[in-house]
Amino acid sequence: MARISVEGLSKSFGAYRVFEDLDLAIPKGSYVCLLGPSGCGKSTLMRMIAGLDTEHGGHIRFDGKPVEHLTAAQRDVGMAFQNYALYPHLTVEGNLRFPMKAPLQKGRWSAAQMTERVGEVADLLQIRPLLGRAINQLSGGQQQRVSLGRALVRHPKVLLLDEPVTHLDARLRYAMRSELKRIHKVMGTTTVHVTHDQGEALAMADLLVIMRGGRIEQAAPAMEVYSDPATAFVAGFLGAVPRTVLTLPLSERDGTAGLRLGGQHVPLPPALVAAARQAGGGTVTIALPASAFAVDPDGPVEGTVAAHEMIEGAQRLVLQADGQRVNIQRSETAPVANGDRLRFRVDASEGLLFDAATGDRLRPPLRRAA
Amino acid sequence: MSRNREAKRAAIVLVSPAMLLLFALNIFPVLYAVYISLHHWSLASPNPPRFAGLFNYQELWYDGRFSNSLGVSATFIALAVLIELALGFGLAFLFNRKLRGLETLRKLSLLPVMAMPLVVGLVWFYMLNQNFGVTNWVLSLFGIGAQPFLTDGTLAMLSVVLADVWQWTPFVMLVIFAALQSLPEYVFEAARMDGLTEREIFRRITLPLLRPAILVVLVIRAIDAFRMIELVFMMTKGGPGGSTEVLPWYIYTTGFLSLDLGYAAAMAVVMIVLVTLGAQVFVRKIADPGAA
Amino acid sequence: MTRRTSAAPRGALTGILLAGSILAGSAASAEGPLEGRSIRILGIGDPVFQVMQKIHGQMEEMGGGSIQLDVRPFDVLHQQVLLNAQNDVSNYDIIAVDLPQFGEYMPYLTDFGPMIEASGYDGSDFHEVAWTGAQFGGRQLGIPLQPHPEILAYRKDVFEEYGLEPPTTHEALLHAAQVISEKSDDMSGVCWNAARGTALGQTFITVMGDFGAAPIDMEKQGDDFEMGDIKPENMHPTIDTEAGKATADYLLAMEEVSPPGILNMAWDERVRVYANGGCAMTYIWAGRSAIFEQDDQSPAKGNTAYLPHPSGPGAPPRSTLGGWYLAIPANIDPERKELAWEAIQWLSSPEMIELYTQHGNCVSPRRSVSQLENVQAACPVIPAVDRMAEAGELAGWQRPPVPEIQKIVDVLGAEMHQMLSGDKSAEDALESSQRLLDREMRKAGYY
Ligand SMILES: Nc1ncnc2c1ncn2[C@@H]1O[C@H](COP(=O)(O)OP(=O)(O)OP(=O)(O)O)[C@@H](O)[C@H]1O
Ligand SMILES: [Mg+2]
Repeated sequence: MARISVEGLSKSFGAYRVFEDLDLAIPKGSYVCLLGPSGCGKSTLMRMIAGLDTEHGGHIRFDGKPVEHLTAAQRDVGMAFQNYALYPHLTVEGNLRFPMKAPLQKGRWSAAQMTERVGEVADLLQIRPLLGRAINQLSGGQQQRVSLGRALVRHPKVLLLDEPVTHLDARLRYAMRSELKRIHKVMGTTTVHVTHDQGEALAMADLLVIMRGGRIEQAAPAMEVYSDPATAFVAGFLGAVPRTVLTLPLSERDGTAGLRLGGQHVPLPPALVAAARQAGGGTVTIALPASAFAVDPDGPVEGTVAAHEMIEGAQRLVLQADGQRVNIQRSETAPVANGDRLRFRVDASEGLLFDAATGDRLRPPLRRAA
Repeated sequence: MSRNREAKRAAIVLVSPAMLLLFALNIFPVLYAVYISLHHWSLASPNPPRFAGLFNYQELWYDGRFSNSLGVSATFIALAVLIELALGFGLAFLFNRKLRGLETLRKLSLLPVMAMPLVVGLVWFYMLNQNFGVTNWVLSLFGIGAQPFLTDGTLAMLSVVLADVWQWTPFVMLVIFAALQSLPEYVFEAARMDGLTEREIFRRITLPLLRPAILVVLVIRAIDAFRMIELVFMMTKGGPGGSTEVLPWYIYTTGFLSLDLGYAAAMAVVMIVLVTLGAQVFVRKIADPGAA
Repeated sequence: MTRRTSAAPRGALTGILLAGSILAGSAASAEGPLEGRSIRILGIGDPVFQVMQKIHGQMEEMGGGSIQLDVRPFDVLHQQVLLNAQNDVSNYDIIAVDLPQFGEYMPYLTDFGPMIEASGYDGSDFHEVAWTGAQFGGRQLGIPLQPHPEILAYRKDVFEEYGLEPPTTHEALLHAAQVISEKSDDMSGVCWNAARGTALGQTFITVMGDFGAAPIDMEKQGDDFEMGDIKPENMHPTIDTEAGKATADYLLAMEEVSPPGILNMAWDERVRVYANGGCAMTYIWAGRSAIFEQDDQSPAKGNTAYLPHPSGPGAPPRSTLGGWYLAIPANIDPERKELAWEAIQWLSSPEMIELYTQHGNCVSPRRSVSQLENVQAACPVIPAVDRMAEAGELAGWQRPPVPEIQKIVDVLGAEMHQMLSGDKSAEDALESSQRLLDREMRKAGYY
């Protein structure tokens, strides 16, 4: 139960710079999900919060107090490692018991309490039958649960979970999610949870943090990140059918402002016109939901099918137009092949605009005032 | 059914060359040693070997020199292997630090392993020799009188141990070092998160993880030390008295000097049995993953 | 340990020489006794064969053929000779045989008698005792190459300085050693073989000979023993006897006046310590005296006098004769026998014996060679040994030529070492040696 603030964090591995100047505030008792492409620095950030890697610039504070000089154990952090990091020479039970037997925990747990706690965690993670097994006799998912159990077992102040449920089957993963959420509710432990599963992130996070290339793109409540992305990257990153993100030249026709796609003029709704004016260089980035596009033989724009797939009663298409990719979802299914040419309509009324150079959101001045 | 039998026959055909080789290389010599040990078989005598039953083995029972040599061998193995393990361990940890220059030092430290044991014995014989030896000369510089390194019972044993330790510690170091290098770093991080001090990490994580390597090197060294003969040959000839007469040296003098092959073979068979039994205990420990 | 003549370069050189001589009308090969053929010798790492190794190239040139010389340590040689005897055809033309080994090798050696007769070879130039030493049951089994006795060398200058009598008896030796150990800072009394095993075992039986006794119950013949015909009833060990006790006591007394580390001292070391001035006397196989007589740095050079093995009370001086003979294995390829005999005549000829003395082998079994001035200059020990031979002070019975000799030596070498290191009393060591050897003889089926 601690407030964590990361200020001006920088980190390099030799010549390779992971973080330049990273800021992040994690409110006390919140459940934070970290989401971002592979290699963007999620695990590295977790290791630095945990105190496993103390060679970095900037500051990390717990409840306002700097923790750079504290060891990992003194920070009282529990961590489930991405690669489990279980003790290979101990049994499952030995692994679960281990954190409670550490010197800093001395006197906090009686033998009976330890056994009870191990039992509780084992039940929670459904690994009771495995307690006597050696680590190398476990499946990946079983190891992952032991690793999670080891992080949970001693009730730390901060829980860092690096992809704690990725290797579980869907049903178990779902159950585990709600368990984690329940534990969080009961214990109120500040938790940072790294995941690649957007559904998981949206469902669990009080605060959703989107990272890319060592930078934080957006940190906000999950729904806000989803509906009101702060950058073009976020806009195109989230969603079952991600938004289509296009960078297009501005154009004028018949006195209305619009964008040019495939040689055609796509008019912008009035709300966005003001925002579009702020863009420099005559181009702008627009993010459009799948619903903005519709296949129509009489549509103005033509594209080439680059990919297609079937999902429950719908067809998903990726069209190539003007050298850019357009995501379309339609409910009627018709046979298509890659390379087919299709025409479609565009409705920009649901669009979100971003600066083509920086990727930052362009908002109409009015709305910003409101 | 017939298919099964065919598969079985194929398996026998495929495995038999390996089995034959194993038999020829490993089992036959042992059986032959057993055969010789059941005979009065002296190369020195022009008479052909004659069957002796268990005579040679009964003889062993009453042979004080044999029991003495067993004791000496046990002492030698215990001292040499324990010291080598302790030193090798320490060195491995030292070299595991990523300090400049250590890499070269580590490579240099391996030189003794490559030396021929006979040469090592000769070198130590001359170094510790009371009349020409450099060791006593060095001691005299510090005002310490000449020590009977090779002619006092206890010192002679320690001298032979010293030579063995000098030669084989780097090997132990190398094995432990390799094992250390392959330990998963993240497990140590987990332990650090769990709040273990470096000392406790060593005791509760490093040591148990190194256990297989330690056991392996222990078995190799113990068996090797049991077979050691060169150092005794060069340095003490088993003296003074019989205080450094290890079993292989007694076997050698019996079989190769006195040419009493039957009796020497009986001792060799006992030695093989002891080695096999001893190694079994360790091998079982290595194979057993649960025992912590 | 195992030394081989470095075959590659020499072999190549020989090849070139041979090729050259063939092209040149085989002038060289016609001269040498080998006549362009190759001879295979199994030798021992003792001075004479080491000399042959040293001058190998010169010898091949002289011999006019190639010489394959395999030099082995004592134990290995012993084993290889016996193993070679089991072959259908011998791998060697000539083997080296130590005097006490004839008993053991007897069945495996060729009688030189017919060859000597056919070629009119004259053995009378050899010392009588050396020549007859290789005769068994009327058969001549070896030709002397390096027969020499174990004698005593002492520092004339040191003895003069302290006014001491030459150490001809045990008593005189112990007294002199006592005086020198006390008066001199860094010189001890006497160096000898006390290292465990063969070294000490040999010492025991040669010293036992100083009391006129042999380790087994052989027939007495004057002051000496009958060796030609040892019967099973002669095989009883005679260790736990008065002579044995006297021997043990003498060894214990010598230990007191010996240099440090005596318990680990053996053949080479005792001579080297003596050569460096570490002791005033040393027991020595005569041929090894070259180590100091041919070393300008050694204080012992030119200052050494030689005596027979000092004797015990009431016994005549007897030095153990030992050393190496050349012999032909019985299983030699018959076609090579003549070549082997030619080669042996050449290797033991006066010219060659003389040559060996000039390169560090101070042994001459031939009277004619012992007279030569340059030989006496290089090896002052040779005339001394000659005198001992004339006086009948050399004998071989201390080491009876029986197959069990090595076992006797080994048991004594282990038991007496326990006595010298204080682990056992003399009585216990003698008693257990006697018991162990008795058991051994019974096992071998003598009685
Ligand atoms: N010890 C290291 N040495 C050098 N580079 C490293 C090291 N650890 C991580 N990196 C680099 O730092 C970057 C961030 O790594 P990190 O493990 O934090 O990624 P991640 O976001 O956790 O990725 P994933 O989702 O695949 O787990 C990567 O480019 C990685 O290659
Ligand atoms: Mg990661």
